Amino acid sequence: MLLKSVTMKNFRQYKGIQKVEFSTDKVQNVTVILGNNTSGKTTLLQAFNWCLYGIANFDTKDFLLNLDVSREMNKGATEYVEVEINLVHNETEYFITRNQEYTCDNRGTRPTPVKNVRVSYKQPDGQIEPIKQIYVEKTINEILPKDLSTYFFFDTERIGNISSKADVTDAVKGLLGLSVLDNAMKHLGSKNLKSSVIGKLTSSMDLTGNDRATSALAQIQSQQSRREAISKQLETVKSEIAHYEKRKEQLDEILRDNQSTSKLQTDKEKLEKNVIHEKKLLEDTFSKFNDDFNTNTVNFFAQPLMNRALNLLKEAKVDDKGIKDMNAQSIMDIIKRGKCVCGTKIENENDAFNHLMKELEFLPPQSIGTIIRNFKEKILTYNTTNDSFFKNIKSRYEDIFRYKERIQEWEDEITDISEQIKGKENMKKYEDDLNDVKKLLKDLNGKKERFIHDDGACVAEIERSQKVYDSLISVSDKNKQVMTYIKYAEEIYKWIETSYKEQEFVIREKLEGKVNNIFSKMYHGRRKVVIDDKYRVSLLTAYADDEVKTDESKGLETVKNFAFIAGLVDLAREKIISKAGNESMALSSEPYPLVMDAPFSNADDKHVSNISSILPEIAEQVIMFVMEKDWNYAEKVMGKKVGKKYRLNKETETLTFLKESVG
Amino acid sequence: MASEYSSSIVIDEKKLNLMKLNILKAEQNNLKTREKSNEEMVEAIRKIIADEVKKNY
Repeated sequence: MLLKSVTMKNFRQYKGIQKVEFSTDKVQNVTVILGNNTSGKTTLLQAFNWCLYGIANFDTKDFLLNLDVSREMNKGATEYVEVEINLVHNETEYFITRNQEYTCDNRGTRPTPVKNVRVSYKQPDGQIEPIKQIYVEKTINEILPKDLSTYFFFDTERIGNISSKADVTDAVKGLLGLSVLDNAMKHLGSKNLKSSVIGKLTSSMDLTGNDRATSALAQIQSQQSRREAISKQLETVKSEIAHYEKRKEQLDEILRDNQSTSKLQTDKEKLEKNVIHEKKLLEDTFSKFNDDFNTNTVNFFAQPLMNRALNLLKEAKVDDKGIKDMNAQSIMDIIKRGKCVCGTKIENENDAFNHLMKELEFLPPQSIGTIIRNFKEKILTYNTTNDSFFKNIKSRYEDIFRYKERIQEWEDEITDISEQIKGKENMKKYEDDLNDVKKLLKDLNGKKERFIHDDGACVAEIERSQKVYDSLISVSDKNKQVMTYIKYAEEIYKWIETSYKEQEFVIREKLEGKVNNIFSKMYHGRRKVVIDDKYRVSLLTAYADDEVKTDESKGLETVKNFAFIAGLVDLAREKIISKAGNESMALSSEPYPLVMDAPFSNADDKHVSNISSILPEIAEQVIMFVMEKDWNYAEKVMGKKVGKKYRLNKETETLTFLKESVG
Repeated sequence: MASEYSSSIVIDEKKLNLMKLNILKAEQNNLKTREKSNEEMVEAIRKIIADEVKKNY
């Protein structure tokens, strides 16, 4: 695909109709569009994206109409934004046009739902023929895959690290001609695909009057359908297994590398559990300590006073002849009653009376000897209780102290471990992940086994039905002919399938070689580009005897992406041949342009010089939007390669004119 | 039996190679023009095979 021109109508700052014709000369293959900041260079790049894919990367992406035109519109007026790209692809000239209608009403100028994209091509007789509307998007995607648009319309300052994220497999294969093989395989199909060549031929076999043969064929087709469904599910399971095995490897590696961290993590968790348990014990013991303390506090603290009293009373002469706990009032009551508890009469001045009166002398208030004796006995009881109270309290206090000491010790250890594993990954999380992944893998492998088993059962059933079918079907002349067609169709399918696989492998190898070659011309360091089976690009750095993935600076990312697209363009120019006996045909040999906004952005002189010399050599057409100051350096290297040159004359913020410049 | 007949069919390599190239050319051309629908392409390929089988060189 080579770009012949782009024509814009009222597209952003490009008011009216403005056209750029690109150089398609084989030698002077560079078109330069010079302009300073905000003059409309990036808008030009966006014009390509919008025309081809309807994508415009502006802050106000819904509003593409030139603002001057919009302001001049009266109520009820209609205007259009339109971009047309004229290009040559596969030796055919195409016109791709996209437009968007805008109307003005009370609320101002707004886009209407009317938008359309058309593709037409020039027939060999010069007549322009439109492509059917249902195939428009598909055709554009065949000419230049949307997934690769960010590479072909290379915005150096915004491209970022897209190549490691996007799956551009189909896009790359299509670009390199594998779509031809892919479509042929889809159309040839198989016996169970009734709408395919082989399926239709199989269905056209003459089975008149043979119900068992018809039923056997139906069984074959149904089992083959089932096999296809199983095959798809098997593919999904296999890719899931591959994904989780990769994840398992990563987790194993992380855990292997951090075994000590993992142990420390476990130790820390154990200590944290211990601390929680110990704090609970401390709390319980403290609560018991308080309860115990409150039960006997007064007696305990009164003990010194009581001991002092006991010491004082030790020296006191105490008459303790009195009856314990007897008091004077009780004696007086007995005398008053006139009869003792033993039945003896108490009369004035008799022996019993006199004896009782004598007893009063040993009792309070005449004597306190008995009280003192009682008091002494009580103190002795208190002392015994206080001793056990003290032992209990002391033991609880020692427990509290021990718990506190242990908690402190473990908390210090936790702090220490935390310091050691600070900033390192949470290994427990990875261990949990690994267990989950192992479980998933076990389930998936079980599923895989079941699918394989089911597929085997289908194969057996197909073989059985095939035998029935073969034994019953009459080998009529018509059937002989159909069987011959099927035989050829199946041979062709097998050949295309093999070619596809071979080409797929060769293409990736070749692409990696080309990308590395270009990368090495631009970057002089110990890095190399690798392309995986999904055509994702990453960089490896030589490190000791190994190669490791490293972080990429923005500049390096740009160089990598640039090398990828340049390698792709270079490979697409090569003829990818499909051989059939002595005959052969080129599946693809298509030149592609490199359209680049600010290719010299943030580049030093050497980088500018490298890019300038590589670009026109790799691509058959180079279109660059460059700042005047950057062009001063580049012109020295690639000046002679320039076939067309334009300048962006910025009149106002909303108006830029494209002017062809000579020399 | 059908299977015996099918195994006895001898493939003419020259015819086979011509079929391969013609099918790929047809696919390549349709990618360019999108003139034919899937069904039409299936019929076109079937016709390429049938025509080539019938030819006498």
